[in-house]
Amino acid sequence: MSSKKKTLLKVIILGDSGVGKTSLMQQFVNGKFSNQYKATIGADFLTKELTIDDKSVTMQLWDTAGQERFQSLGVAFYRGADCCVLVYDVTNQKSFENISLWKDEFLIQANVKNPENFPFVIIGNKVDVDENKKVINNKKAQQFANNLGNLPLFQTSAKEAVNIDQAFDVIARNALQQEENDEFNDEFNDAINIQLDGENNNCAC
Amino acid sequence: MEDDRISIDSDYIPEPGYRPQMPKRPQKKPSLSQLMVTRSKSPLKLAELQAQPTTGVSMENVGQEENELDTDRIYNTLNHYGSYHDSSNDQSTIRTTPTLTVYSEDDDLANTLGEIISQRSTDLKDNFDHEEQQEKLKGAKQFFILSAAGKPIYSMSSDADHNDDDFVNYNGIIQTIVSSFLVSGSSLKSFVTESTRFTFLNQSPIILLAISKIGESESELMNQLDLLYSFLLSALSKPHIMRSFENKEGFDLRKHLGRADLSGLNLLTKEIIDFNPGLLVGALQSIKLKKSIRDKSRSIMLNKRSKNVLYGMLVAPGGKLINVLRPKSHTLHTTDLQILFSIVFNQAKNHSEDEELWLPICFSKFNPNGFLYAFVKFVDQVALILISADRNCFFELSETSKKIIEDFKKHQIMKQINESLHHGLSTIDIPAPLIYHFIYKSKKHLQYVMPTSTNVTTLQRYYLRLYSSIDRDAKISVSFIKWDNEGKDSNSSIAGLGWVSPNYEVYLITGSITKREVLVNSAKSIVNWCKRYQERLFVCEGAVF
Repeated sequence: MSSKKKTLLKVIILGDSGVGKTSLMQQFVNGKFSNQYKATIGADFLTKELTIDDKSVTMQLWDTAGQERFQSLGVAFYRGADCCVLVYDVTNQKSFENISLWKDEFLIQANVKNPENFPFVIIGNKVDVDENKKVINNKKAQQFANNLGNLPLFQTSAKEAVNIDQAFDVIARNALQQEENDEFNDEFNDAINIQLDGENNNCAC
Repeated sequence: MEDDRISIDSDYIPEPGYRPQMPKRPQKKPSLSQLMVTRSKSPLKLAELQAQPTTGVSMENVGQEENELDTDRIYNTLNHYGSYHDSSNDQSTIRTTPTLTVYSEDDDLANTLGEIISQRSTDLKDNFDHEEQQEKLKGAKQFFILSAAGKPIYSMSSDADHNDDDFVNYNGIIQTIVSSFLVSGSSLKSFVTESTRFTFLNQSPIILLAISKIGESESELMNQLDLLYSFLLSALSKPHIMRSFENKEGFDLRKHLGRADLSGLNLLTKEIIDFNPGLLVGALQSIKLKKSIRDKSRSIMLNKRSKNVLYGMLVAPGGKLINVLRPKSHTLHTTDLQILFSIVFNQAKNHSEDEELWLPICFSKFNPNGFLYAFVKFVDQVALILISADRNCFFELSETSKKIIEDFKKHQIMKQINESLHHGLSTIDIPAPLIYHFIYKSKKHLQYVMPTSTNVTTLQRYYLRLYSSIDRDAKISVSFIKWDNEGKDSNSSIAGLGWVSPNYEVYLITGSITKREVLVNSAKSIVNWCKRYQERLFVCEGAVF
């Protein structure tokens, strides 16, 4: 009975400013990278057609403003997301610590009904930099992801296209699973009780 | 079309002695035959007369009870403003507020043209270039329905794949625009770009958007969106929709919409775009039928009604009402019926006449929380619809329908109905000369009639303009609009008159004569004719039990 329309998967990307949210998205959708930094104002989205296990879907990736002063559109577009991607910069301790804040912020603003089941994916970006610049090592990150509820973790480089497709494959699968998970109980009484005047007056004679 | 509306202050009074410059009276009145020839060869340059007439007169505080005098009052007032007599004092006791004014300089010419009044309106149809009109409508409108989270539900042309991708992108933008207004504590209803109006209906968790380039107003588009929303409710009911989104805002409502629902939405948007006047004026079209036949069908429906029949309707193709059966205490809303008829005749395309249909349908204006059940049986393309609140009474209603149809046949009612449908309604039936087309709505019956032989799609923009030029706050409002150089012949004009009173609304369009007095007279004739024959034209009583 359902239509053959493509499923739309809505994915929100969150994280501190400058961690590479826009770059990750551009690399995944367009295969491009720019060294220039431009702050995202408000929000932006890109869409990409994907096939997951023979099912074709449209992934709509929402790139958000990391800088508070550019969050002009508020958080309304968090609503109805099928997956949330939390991004930190492996060279930036603060951005890593803020991951759990971004997660909480999302759960509150997106009004998620079952927070423990909602799919998050964590991405540590900029792994292409020199080892001595990295302040968050794999082990520390993995432990952190486990503590947040065994969240999938990927170490990526948007610049050199490392692990991008792998990360977004998991994002898409988790989003699809979330999208298809409809706890819908259709058993309710839809009858309307209609009182006709005539019925009340039956004994009036 | 140029916007020929001239705004003036409501207390504007022309200076004494002021008269607009009048064109010189033609030295010699051309004979009828000369006029006919010159018209086609077009040396009669109407355009050079630079007439810019738009008349709108609103009257407030006119007597509560409408009587025959009203037509004369309006007639006088209209003429008063229309011809710009310099006496601004003889407004008698009626307080008039001209919302629009008129500078008509073609009175003399119109006088001359008035002499060819015997020309039948059917000769005028060449003034309307149908193909050109159709072409203009292409891509001029679009509808989107999406969830508050930006998940697509419906877009008008969503059967083409490439549009589907666009739709996904539009969704993101629409959702962002709507929600950013909500965040700031306001709600966005409508905005206009140079040529396009965007109107939003936020029925959280559903957002509907209409985009129109054909000059419809916010309230007209809002009505259309309400119709589409009501259709969604009719298929799913409000609790079903609310619960769908309750646990997951990102729910894809398309999962609960079947193929019939999507084709129903397609049909409804097509009806809107092709211009269904009933949707504009909020009324059902009725068919002209002899009173005795209408009465007989009424008594049959009443007599054969079984216990669980809540409503019954006899409806001709196109949703034209023939008769209604209803309980004294309940009526059905026009929108609910428009949707029901649309669904029924959409279903009819896929079913043969001997099949019986059983459709659960939520009448959202009646009660958005649950379903009623419609039994449908077709007889000679006419639908007999019986509605029950009990989902288990299909066989009872089937039995009832057989008895009703048997009696209909016995009394030759179907035959009479088919004859009436075949004849339709023509402007020739009405003593209103030179009227190309009209719409008459009886407010009391919430039904309208119009000539059936004309493709009304091509008249959409004229009717839209007439409709929106009416002052809805006034008790009585009249509007006269002339479109210069609009006909196929570059020298011809199209004119229209809209007239709304407490009891009726009439809109009429003419393709040649554009003199107000003539149009007002014709409007009066139409009103008088429709009042006189109202028992033939409308379902007046219905079968009430």
